[in-house]
Amino acid sequence: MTAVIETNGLAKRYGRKWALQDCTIAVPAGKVVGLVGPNGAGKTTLLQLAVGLVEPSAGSMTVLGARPGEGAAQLERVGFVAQDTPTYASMSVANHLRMGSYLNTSWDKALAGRRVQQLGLDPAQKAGALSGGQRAQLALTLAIAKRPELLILDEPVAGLDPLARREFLQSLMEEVAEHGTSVVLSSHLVADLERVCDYLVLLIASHLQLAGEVNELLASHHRLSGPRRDLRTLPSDQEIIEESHTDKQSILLVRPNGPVLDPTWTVTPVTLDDVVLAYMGRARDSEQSRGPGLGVVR
Amino acid sequence: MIRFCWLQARVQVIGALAALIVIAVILALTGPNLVHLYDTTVATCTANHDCSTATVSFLNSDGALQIGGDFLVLFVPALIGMFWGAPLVAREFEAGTFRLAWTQGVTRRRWTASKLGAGLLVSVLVTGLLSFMVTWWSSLPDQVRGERFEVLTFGVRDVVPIGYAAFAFSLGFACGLVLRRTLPAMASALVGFAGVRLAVDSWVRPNLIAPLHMTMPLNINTPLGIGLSQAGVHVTATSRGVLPATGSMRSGSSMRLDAPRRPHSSIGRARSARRLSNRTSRSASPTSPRGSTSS
Amino acid sequence: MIEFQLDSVSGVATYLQLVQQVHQALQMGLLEPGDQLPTAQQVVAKLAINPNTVLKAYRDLEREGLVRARPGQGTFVTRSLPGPEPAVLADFLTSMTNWLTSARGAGLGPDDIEAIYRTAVRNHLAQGVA
Repeated sequence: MTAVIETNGLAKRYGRKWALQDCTIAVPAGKVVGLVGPNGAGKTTLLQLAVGLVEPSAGSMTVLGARPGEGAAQLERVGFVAQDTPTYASMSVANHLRMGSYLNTSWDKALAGRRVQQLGLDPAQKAGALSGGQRAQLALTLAIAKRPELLILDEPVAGLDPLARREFLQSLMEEVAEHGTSVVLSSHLVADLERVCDYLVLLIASHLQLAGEVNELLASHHRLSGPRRDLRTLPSDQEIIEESHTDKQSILLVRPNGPVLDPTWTVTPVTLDDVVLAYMGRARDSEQSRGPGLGVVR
Repeated sequence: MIRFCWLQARVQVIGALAALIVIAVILALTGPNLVHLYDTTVATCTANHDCSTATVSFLNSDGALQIGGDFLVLFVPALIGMFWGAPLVAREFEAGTFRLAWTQGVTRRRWTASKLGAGLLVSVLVTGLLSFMVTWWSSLPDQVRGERFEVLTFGVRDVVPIGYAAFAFSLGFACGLVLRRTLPAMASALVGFAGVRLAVDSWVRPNLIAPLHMTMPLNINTPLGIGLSQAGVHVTATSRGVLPATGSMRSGSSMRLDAPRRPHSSIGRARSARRLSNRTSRSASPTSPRGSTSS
Repeated sequence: MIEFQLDSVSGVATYLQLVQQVHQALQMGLLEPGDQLPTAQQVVAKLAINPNTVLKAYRDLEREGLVRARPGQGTFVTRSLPGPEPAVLADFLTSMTNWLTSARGAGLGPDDIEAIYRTAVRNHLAQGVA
């Protein structure tokens, strides 16, 4: 399957701070990709690199087989909704749609009009007077109506109330079902993405931690619980992501490379939330142990 | 892209055109009065021997409008730079809308070129119209005052304001692009433009052509503004860019102005010679621009 | 037309929930051969889930021989579920009632029973290897 976003050692630096380092992924087409990670992990940087708003400091990136943001044709193939869904506050909804039709040759006027009507937006109303959810829907309409092959959304539901959030995701999924658009959407809340994404990219502190199909990730991580024991007795091919112990019990989240044969372990499946939290915990622990004098004495 | 520029800017453009129409109406209503006043007072003043009072009263009539018109043409380029040029890109950065504008099907290069080009065109048109209206209206007072090439007047007539407007808009645009904040960009555009304009008026213009030195009779209409020493003593003075008006010979003292014999001054000399001869045709006693007359 | 629900806390995979709901609808007679299932677009517009999930559920149902996708038209039910005999259902109802009686007798309250039921279902339906 062709990759819709392909990076090789991609890195971006602002001044002396690296926002993204050594990122190599190949995201397949036709998926809804969740880009997750804590705030400041590099998600926005990666997305802005993908639409050509910033240039890489190192490495390379191709989006839909071309350099990001290079030329009007490429810009039209990718729809983008930035964080906080920017719109022109003093411009009406109808004028935003006109702007879309002036600036994009692939603009689908009927689709835009239909969406605005379905959403119940008043065409004459200025964008600054819309609610957060309505503005997000307007921004999504602007991105969808130019019929892109790829939609990139940067934390689109972060500031929305639960109802607006649900409606936004319903809208988005309907668009994917209808046109088969590839979607990359970022969030620092995994719960938003779990029902919607079938591919996951996890960034923590500017580094890539995980990338893969959600099904595979869920199948390849297990939770093991059993009587407390010394972890050095575990086979070495089982990568422990997270562990916690009480005086009687050990609970691990592992990524085994083979079946877990020890019958004293109870194996239970994990949710995406569990996996992401485990990796985030591991990253934070390793950072703390690297830091001066911050090691935790057990 | 042009349609989009119009969509975003139409309120401002229409507002500017409306203001221009109002100004045009005011000038059109007061213009003929001025001509009439000129015809009845100044044109006949030499015959009536009251030229000093006639010119003074002529120049004072509609004085507010004269000053107002000049100030308007003086400040409009600065306003254009501040309010049209500076916010154009700075606002996009401040509101974050550049992330919307630059992910449409238009490259950043084309976006910038269109905005800059359209803005320059409108700035030049608006300022040009204003300047030509004010120049037309002020043609008689300019003539009477004889200050057409005086530094302040020169800067607010004909095509000069157009150049200033184009510069101010571009400067504002550049400030907005670099500073990315609207208020600092506006302030920088204003300060930058004012600085350049002052520099041009104070240091560039006066030194573009060597000053013209000429001899002319001293009379009450000569706008030189210097004091005299004992009668009969020659006082040497130079004036920069001032075309002396002539009139009748009054007093016996004369003032000699040195004329350098340098080829590149000939243009200035020839121009002023033409203007002098225009005026002398109206006055009773023509004097030659060169050489001195003493009595 | 059937309307799907989603239980996001049960731990059961989404596509499995859809399959189960189709099974249950067939069982209870809400769906009959010839009925059309909602399109992926309709389902996701309501549930805000990935359309591929719906397609996967429908593919599974098609593999079971319960539905057929007709290109350009939709997905239609082809046969009803061979349901268990009413006697079998009655047997299970009896054994369940007995279990409940003994559980109550042992002092379990409704919450305990609920917890046991959910844990058992989750463990049973999940794919764990021990």
